[in-house]
Amino acid sequence: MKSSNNRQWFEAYWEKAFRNASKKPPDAVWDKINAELAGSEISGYKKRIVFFKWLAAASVLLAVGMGFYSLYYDRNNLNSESPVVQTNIADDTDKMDSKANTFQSEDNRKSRTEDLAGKEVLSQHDIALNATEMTKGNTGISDVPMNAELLSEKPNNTSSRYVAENDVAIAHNRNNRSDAYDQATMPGSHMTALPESIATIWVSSSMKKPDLPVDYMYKRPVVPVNFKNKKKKQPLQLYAGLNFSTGMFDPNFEGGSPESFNNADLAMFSSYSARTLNTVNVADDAVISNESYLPDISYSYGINMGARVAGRWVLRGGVSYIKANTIANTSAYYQDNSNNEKYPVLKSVNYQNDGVVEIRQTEGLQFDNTFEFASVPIKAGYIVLDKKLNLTLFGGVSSEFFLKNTITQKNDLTNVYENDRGSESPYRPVYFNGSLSTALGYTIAGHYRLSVEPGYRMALSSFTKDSFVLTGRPDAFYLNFGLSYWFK
Amino acid sequence: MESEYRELVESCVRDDRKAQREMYDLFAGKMYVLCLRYAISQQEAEDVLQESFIKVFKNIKKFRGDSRLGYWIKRIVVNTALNHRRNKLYMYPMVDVDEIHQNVGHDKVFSDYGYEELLSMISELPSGCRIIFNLYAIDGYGHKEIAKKLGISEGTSKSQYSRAKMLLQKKISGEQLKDYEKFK
Repeated sequence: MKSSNNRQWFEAYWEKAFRNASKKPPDAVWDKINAELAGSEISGYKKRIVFFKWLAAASVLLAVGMGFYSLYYDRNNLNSESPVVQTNIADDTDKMDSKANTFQSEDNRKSRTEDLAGKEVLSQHDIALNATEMTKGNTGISDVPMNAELLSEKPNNTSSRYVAENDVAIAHNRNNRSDAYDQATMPGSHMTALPESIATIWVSSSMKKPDLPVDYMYKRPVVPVNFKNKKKKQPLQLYAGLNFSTGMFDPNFEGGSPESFNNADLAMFSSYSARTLNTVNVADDAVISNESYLPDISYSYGINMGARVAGRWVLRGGVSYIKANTIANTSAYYQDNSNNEKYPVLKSVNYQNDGVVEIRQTEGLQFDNTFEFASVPIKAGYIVLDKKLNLTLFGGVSSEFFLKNTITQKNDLTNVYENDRGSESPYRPVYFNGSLSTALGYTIAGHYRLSVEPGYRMALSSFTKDSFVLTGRPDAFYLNFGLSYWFK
Repeated sequence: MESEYRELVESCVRDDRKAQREMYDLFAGKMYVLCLRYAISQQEAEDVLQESFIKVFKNIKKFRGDSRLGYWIKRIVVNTALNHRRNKLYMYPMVDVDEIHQNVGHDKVFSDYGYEELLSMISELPSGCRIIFNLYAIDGYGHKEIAKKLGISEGTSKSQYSRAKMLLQKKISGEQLKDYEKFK
């Protein structure tokens, strides 16, 4: 028991001896903590920037990939694009009259025989003749290539003359072609139907693109009915929509140097004539104000209108409100002792006061430095993928009309400071941006389109006035979300 | 959450540097002494303090207010100090020693020492038993918890503590004897 009491007394003594023990750590410890916290904040901002950069890069890769896919798909899908397209050959062409082929010249037959025997590439003669050979009718003469599909649909309509579509049947199997040719062109023979499986073919990209089929009776090209109208003019498609975007706005301020103040040498008055401080006292022997800026999350919203102007080209314009946030750091502030107003020592703060002002230094003052703009962009876009899921590459310029700059300290140590559009403002009334973006859209119910559009926007001109000590060419990575209605 | 610190904590959650500085000023002094007890040098104590407060500010949003703010910070500092010393801890013998009974009879002779003198005595203890002494006698951890934290057996914790206690008592006895001889 005694031992136990001793232990309790012993521990209680030590615990009590250290309970309120306190010793001020060296100032360097806080400086290191402060620096590390600032570093981790910067790291956080960098991570956000990296996220938007990767997003932009990924979208460009996606666009390029889908573009290549789209091109490859279009090249191969010639049944809707190429003048040489397949058609079906009917099974019931066995009664094709050989007289229909008697107009073929011997020269043409030789030419075709050589061609079919020695080449994979079909000449326009083959195309015209294949169709002509399939002509079913008792006229014996056909001045246009016949559409075999029509033949199959109307096997009994032997007197009709059919106008060929652009699409002319081509038998790709050399043997079958030869057989068909031989049977169809030899006097007295009947054309044998080609198996349906080989009747429909894809024309490879290496095949020579034929010109118009030739009428071998009159030795003139046959103009299909809809050949000239193949490239239809698309009606102007208009659309209007709403957009919201978020991103990282970096003012990219350059120039200037830390401001130093002391009572003996108030250098500030020579450097910053805009300030009219009647009497200034520097709290410490010397105050040095380091200012720096970090990007922060910004957002914008607005309306846009656009039109599909030609083929795959679109134009888009609109107007948006942009609230671009940055973080400003400084280590000094003004204090008006008459009314206790406080304002940060920042180069963009043109503080004017007739009273007694004191400049004080403090650690790690952080401000929300917010810019507001009205943006009027105009963009041109190329539609890479034009399906329900669509992809458009945009490039364009925008005019950014400066509205207001607000500097707010996070815990209200200082008063809110504003730069408006007046002549005292260090910012230009308008500056210009260039932008690149990729819009991935999805069409809903035919008229509505939802889109996600990552992009990059960069100033083409400085948004600060020449007279201002800092130069800023802002840039931003952003992600735009849009909903548009397409008028059709 | 203690109402007196509610606003301060909320400001720190918003990464308000001024509030962080205020919190640091409130607790850094006590925590620095704590770091000095665990560390083998002043430099190491400063490093532990710095690391601890960075952890505090980065994790302040996790502070739910179900314990006192000072106690929450103290636990972070203790854990950081232990992590800092963990690799070096086992450079010193950390084995069971025979139970040392406190029969020296000088328990009450050091009642007038200030914390700085006591700190000096602690700093002369071997690293292993110094940490256990700090945890058990001053910071209020039980042997079971110490064993778990340090990855040792409960018996080792107890024996190392007894060893630390004996060394401290001898140290104090020696100091008393010197004073007595000087006086004589």
